[in-house]
Amino acid sequence: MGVNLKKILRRIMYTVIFFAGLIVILLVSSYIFTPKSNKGGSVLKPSYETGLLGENKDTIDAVIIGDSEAYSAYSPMLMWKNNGITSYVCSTAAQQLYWSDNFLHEAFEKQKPKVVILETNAIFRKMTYADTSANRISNMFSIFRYHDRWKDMKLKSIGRKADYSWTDDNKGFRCSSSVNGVRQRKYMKYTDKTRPLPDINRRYVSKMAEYCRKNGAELVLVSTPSSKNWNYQKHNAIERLAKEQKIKYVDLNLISDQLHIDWLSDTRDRGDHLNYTGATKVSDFMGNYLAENFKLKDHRNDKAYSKWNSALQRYLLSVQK
Amino acid sequence: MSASYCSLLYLAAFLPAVILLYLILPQKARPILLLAASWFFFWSISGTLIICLIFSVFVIHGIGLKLDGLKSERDEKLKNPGDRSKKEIKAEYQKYMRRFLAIAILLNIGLLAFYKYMGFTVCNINSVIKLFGCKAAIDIPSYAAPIGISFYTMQAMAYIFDVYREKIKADRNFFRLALFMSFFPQIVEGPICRYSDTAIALWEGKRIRSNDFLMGIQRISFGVMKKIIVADRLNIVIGNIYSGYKNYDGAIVAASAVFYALQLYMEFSGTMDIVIGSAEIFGITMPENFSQPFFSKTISEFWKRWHITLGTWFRDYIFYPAAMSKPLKKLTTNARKKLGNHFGPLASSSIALFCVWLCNGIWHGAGWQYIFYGMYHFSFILVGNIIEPFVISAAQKLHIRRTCKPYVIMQTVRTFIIVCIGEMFFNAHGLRAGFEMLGKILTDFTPSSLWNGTLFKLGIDKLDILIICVALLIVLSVSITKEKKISLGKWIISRPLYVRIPIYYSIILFIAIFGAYGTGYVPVDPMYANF
Repeated sequence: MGVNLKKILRRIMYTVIFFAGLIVILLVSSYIFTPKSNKGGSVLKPSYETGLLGENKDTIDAVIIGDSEAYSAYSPMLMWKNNGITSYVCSTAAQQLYWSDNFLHEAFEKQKPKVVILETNAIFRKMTYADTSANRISNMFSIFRYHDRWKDMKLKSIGRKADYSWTDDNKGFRCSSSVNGVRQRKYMKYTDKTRPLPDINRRYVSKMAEYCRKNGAELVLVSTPSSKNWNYQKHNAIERLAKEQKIKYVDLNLISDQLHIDWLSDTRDRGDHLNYTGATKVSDFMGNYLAENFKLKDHRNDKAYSKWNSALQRYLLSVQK
Repeated sequence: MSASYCSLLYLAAFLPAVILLYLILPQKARPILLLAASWFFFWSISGTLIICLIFSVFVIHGIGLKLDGLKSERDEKLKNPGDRSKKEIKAEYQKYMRRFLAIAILLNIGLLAFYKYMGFTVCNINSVIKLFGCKAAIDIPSYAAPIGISFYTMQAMAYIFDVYREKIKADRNFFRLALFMSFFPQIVEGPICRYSDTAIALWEGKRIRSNDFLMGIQRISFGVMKKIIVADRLNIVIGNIYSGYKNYDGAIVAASAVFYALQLYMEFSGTMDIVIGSAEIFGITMPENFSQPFFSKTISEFWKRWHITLGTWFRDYIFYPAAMSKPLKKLTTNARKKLGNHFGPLASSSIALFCVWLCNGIWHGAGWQYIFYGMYHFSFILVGNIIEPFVISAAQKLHIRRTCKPYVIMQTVRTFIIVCIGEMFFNAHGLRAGFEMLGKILTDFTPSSLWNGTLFKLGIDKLDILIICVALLIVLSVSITKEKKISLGKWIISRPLYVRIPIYYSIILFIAIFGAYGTGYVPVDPMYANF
């Protein structure tokens, strides 16, 4: 019996040592594989949304999170131009809510935004517990997120100090001037029906709202105009969720006439995403909405924000091209 | 739960949880744990369709016992035949037993046909109706099939055939039979086990031994490497070429055919490594499904090395009964007189072989391309059998030693090409697409597209090819050692800890770094799960 116990204890000890060694190896390799610059330009660390890391500490008023609907519709530079608000779009194509949650945490590392806008299309994107678990593991050991960097890694970059000072003049907005319109019938037809929302997605929204509250910010759900992706059933689902969680909700699809969205000229892909003219209309509205409802200061004459004025000049030149 | 054994949920949560509980529980409770885990696993993929699996177990359990009862009754009567002859008694009981066997076949194969072939059958009926100019068509039914139905149905049939043939005794323990049918590692993609392979060992609930555990983990890691590094990495390029083959020349199409053959092997054999490794942890030895198939010199040999448990199933339950049937025996006797000792038996065995390959094609899927796939391989095996004596005599006349390396290499390459073309039809979007792809390879072959950049715009780059080659070299080395009956797994286990541990860490890091997962990759679904 004594021998057996000794044997078991020895095995447990070996197992613990093995896993401890593995954790060390994974941490070291994670350090090696984590990009040393926030100007990635690759699918692993796209530069658009990581430009936020290069912004001066505590200078961002609002962060916009979501999928391609968000980066196509909100231009922080236009909101700066009109209202003097500093905002940043941290969105990626087909963003899952656990990714949104990652961006939220990343945003609060260096910034203290007062408002966090979550574009609601991402809330309906299907995800599984396995996906969220994998995401958690990737957060612990970034080797699993950046492993594909072996393709473009250089030996000399391994020991280099991380430099996350790069900023994006578009502040995460991806400008598209192409027009591919659609003759639109009324897509927001009233109904009592509700699109089902998976529990796991609900929990993520609740978790994000709680995180914002704890950090002195307010989470706002916003549905961006999209005649292809949005409908009244989805609206009802988000409205109910917002009421349950006591979160503000704005559905721009219900006021797309008020915004003067013309689906023949304001979309780049037949009603799926907005193009630059559509984004201008939405950004004008959103700038005013944020300034009025959250009493965000106008920083345009503040010297600490002079970089934003120079970035605006470059932005305007680039969108005119 | 996902149907993939390579998922995080299976490898990092489900399997460790079952192992942990198995370690804690007393020996008697372990088989119950395995059964509960297996049914939970099945339910998490197919939900209420688990009822089909339980129904199959009920059918074979009940009919198996009935067959055993009839045999005992027959044996009793044979001891005291009275005024009846023994032959009469045997014939009478044979008739009864055949009836029950037919019921078992009807219920099991009927369920399989309902779930797998109803859509295909209705589709063909509609085509016939259309041929006669009628507009009315039957709605094509669409519903999900229970996961692994083709595999567990084959196991159920093997069990009932073996009981009928008196090779095994029927199992009185319903739960033991249920565990044999539903054991979670094998339920999705096999291997197709025989009752005598695993049932008893599964029910013993032996303790987990450290050597079994390590061998199992090593095998699982090897399978994960094959799946994540090679099969998943090739997934996007294969999808792009197969769906848009009209836009590419024959060299690109040929590359996709080779990629698909490799992907299929790496995915299926990789999954088998995970399956067999999982079972090995619990001390269960499952039959191997692959034995270095790409070392085959002929198509016939290929099928002895590829999906072995399916091949042996067809051999034992289709080929032999057909070849030993009265009409074919008679045919052999007559043909032997007229055609001699080689071609005489060949005539009847070819008919039996035709039945096997027709069933093989249909088993793989409800579609004409699958039937074509079966016939394609049948043709090569048949031609191989026919020309064998001529090839031998030609080689003798030309003084070619058939065992010399260049000749063997030529045979191996030829077999690989035939297999790749067969798999191309197998994966093509329909039979017509398969022929068009073959046409492209034969008439529009521009080798330069393989290196002028065309291939690298389709979802794979030079570094991807490089890492695939490295992984293939590893698999090749392991295959060579296996072929020489050397177990690399046992060799690693016998090394001291300071050698073994770095090997384990290297394997984990190799998979973590070079695996095709995360942003930009689409993992391949379990390729045999739907067969």
